[in-house]
Amino acid sequence: MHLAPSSFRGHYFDGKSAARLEVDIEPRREGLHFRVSAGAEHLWSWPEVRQVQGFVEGEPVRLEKGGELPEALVVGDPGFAHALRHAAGAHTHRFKLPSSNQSLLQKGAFAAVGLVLAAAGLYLWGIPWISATAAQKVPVEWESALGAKVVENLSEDLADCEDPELKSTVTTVLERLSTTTGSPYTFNVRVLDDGTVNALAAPGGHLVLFRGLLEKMETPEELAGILAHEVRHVTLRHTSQAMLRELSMAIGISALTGGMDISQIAGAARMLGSLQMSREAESQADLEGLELMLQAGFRGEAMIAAFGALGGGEELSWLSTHPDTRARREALTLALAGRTPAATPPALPGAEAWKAMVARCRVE
Amino acid sequence: MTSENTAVPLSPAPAAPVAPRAQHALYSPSFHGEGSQLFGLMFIGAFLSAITLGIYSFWFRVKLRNYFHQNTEFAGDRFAYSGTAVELIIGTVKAMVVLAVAVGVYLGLGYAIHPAVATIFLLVVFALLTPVVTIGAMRYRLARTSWRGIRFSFRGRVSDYVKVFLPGWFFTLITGGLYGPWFYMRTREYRLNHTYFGNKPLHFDGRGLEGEMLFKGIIASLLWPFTLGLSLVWNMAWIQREVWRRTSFQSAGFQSTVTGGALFKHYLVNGLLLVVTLGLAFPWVRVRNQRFFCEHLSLEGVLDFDAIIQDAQSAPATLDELGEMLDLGVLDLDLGL
Repeated sequence: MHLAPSSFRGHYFDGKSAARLEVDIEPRREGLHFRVSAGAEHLWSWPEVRQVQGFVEGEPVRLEKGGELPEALVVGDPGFAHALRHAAGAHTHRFKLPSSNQSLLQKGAFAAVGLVLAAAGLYLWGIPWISATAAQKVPVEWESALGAKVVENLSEDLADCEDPELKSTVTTVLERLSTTTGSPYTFNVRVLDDGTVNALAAPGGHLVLFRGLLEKMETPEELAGILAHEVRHVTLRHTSQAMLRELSMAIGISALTGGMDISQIAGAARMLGSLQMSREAESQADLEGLELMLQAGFRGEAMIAAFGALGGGEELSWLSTHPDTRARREALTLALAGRTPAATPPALPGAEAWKAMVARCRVE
Repeated sequence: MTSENTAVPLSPAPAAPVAPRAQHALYSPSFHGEGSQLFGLMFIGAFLSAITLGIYSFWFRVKLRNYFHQNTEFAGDRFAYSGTAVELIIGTVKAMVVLAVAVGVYLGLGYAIHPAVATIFLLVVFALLTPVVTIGAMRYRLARTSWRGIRFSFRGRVSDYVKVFLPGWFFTLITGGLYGPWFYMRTREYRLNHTYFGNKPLHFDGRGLEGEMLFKGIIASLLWPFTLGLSLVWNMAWIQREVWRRTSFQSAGFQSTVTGGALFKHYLVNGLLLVVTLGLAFPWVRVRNQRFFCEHLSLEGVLDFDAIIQDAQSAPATLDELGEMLDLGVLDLDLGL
C-alpha cells in the first residue's frame, strides 16, 4: 500500500526478539529511510543493506543489515523492488526484481533440454571414451586380482567338475588359444558343476565355464569357439571397461541430481545402457574371436555351430545381455566366408569321447 | 558438540507501544511456492550442476532449501534459511574423511583380524551412526532456520540421544517391531523437547499413546491386503493427528486435520501426475506436498512473540553432510523445513 509515491508499508525485526514492528519505508538516494510508527527514524546506507528474499513472484522483499543475527525489513508490495533499484544508485545491481513464473518455467524448459543433451553427450561419448582409455591403463596385476575375487564370489556355492580328462581337454584348447594371442594375461579356467548354460570372463584371464554350456557343445572344437570369444573379452578388457563405466555413471548421476531423488529412474536407465554397450563388446568379441580361432588352427564353422547350439531362438535383444544369436551367427558366417584355419589344430578327443567326459563331470 | 550461547541481553522496551498484546489466535502455515518456480529452479540447478561436474550442486542445494523456507509463511511472515554452500562443502570434505577412516578400519580389521570382527564393527558403526547423524543434521538445519529473524536451535546432546535411541532400536529389533511405538515416542519426545525457537522450547508428550498405536498398527497391517493398502494410509493419518495433538509451543497447541481420505486423495493425485507426465511433474508434486502439510497443520493458543528472544547456537554442517552422503533420510523435522 503506497502512502506517498515512494513510501511503503512494511515490517521491521530487530533480530533480538520475535516482535514485529510496523514501519514506513522510503528508499532515498543516501539509503533506506524508515520510521517505526510514531517512533525513531532510522537510515540504512546502501552498502550496509543486502537483499535475501524476493527473487520469485509473490515473495516479499526481505532486506537485512548486520552480521550473523541481523536486523531485517520486509515489504510485500511488488512495487518496492522497483523503487529500491531506482533509488540505490551505484548499488542497483545488488537488488533484484523477482523472476516471473513464466520466465522460470521457460528457463527451466531450456535447462531441461540442455541437461538432456549434456547427459546424452556424456553417456554416448564421454563416459565410454573415459572408461575405455582408463581400462587400458589399469595394471594387469590389479585386473587379475579383481578377476580372481569375482570368480571366487561367483563359485562360492558350486562344486568344480573334477574329471581329469575333461579338465585336460579344456586346458589344451585354452592353452592353444592363449599362446596364439600372445597377450600378457595368464589364463586359467574353472568348470563349475551347474546346469546354467553360460560362460564368463572375469578381468585378468580368469574364465568360468558352466557344465550346462559344455553339455550343449558337440565337440571340443565347438567349445574352442566359445573360449575364443571369452579370451577376446579378456584381451580387449571389456569387463574392466564395463565396471569403470558403471562407476563413472554412478558418480555422474549423483552429481547431476544433487538433491533430487530420482535415483530409481536413473538406475533403470543405467542398466539398459550398460546392456547396450555390452552388445557392441559382444560383437567385437565374436569377430575377433573368430580370427583367433582361425589363427589357432580351429575351424570357424565350429564357432558358428556352437552359437547355434546356444541360441534359444529369437530372444528379445533389448533386455538380454547378448544380441540375438541368429544375428550373431549371420555376422560370423559373413566374416568367415569360406576361410580356412591358418595352423594345425592340437590333438583333441572326438565327439563321442567328449560327450562321455562331460557326462562324467557330474558329481554324484 | 560445543554450543556458543550468543544470546544478547533483552533491550529495554521501545518508547511507544508498537505490537498488539498477545491474544488467543489460530495460526496456520501456508506455502506460497508454485510448481513452475520449482521446475525452473530445479532444472536450471541440475543443468548448472551437470556442466560444472557437480561443483555447483552445493549452491543448488542451498537454493532449494532457501526456496522452501522463504515460501513457507506463518502468522504473516516467511521463514528464512541462512546456510551457505561453503558450509556444505566443508562439511562434505569432513564427512568424506570420516567415511574414509571408517572404511579403512573396516578393511584393516577384516584383513588383520577376522572378517567377522569387521562386520561387527560395521554393524556397530551403523547402529551408532543413525542417531548421531540425526542429531547433527537437525542441529545444523535448525540453527540455519529462522522466523522473524529469530533462529531455531537444537539443545539436545548426541550422547543423551544415543542413550534413548539404541535401547529402543534394539528392543524394536528383537520384538519384531512390536516395541516400535514406544521407540518412536521416546525418540520423538527427545528431538522435539530439545528443539527451541529463540529461547523457548517445543513440547511433545507421547506417553499413553503407544498401546493404541501398536494395536491400530497391527490391525492396519492385517487389513492391508484386503484394503489394497488403504488401511495403512488411514493409520498414518491417525498417527499424524494424535502426535500433533500432543505437540505444543508455549501455551499454544498444534493440531493436524489430516484424514485418511484426504491423504489417500493426495497420494493418488501425486501418483497420477507423475505417471502421466513421466516424472516431469515432480516439482509440482513437491509443491503439493508442502502445501498439503501446511494446510492441515495449525497452532492455536496465546503466543506472545515479543517475549521470544534471540538465542542462537552454533552448529557445523559435517553430520548433515554425512547424512546426505549415506542417504540416511534423517530429516524428520516435523516443521516441514
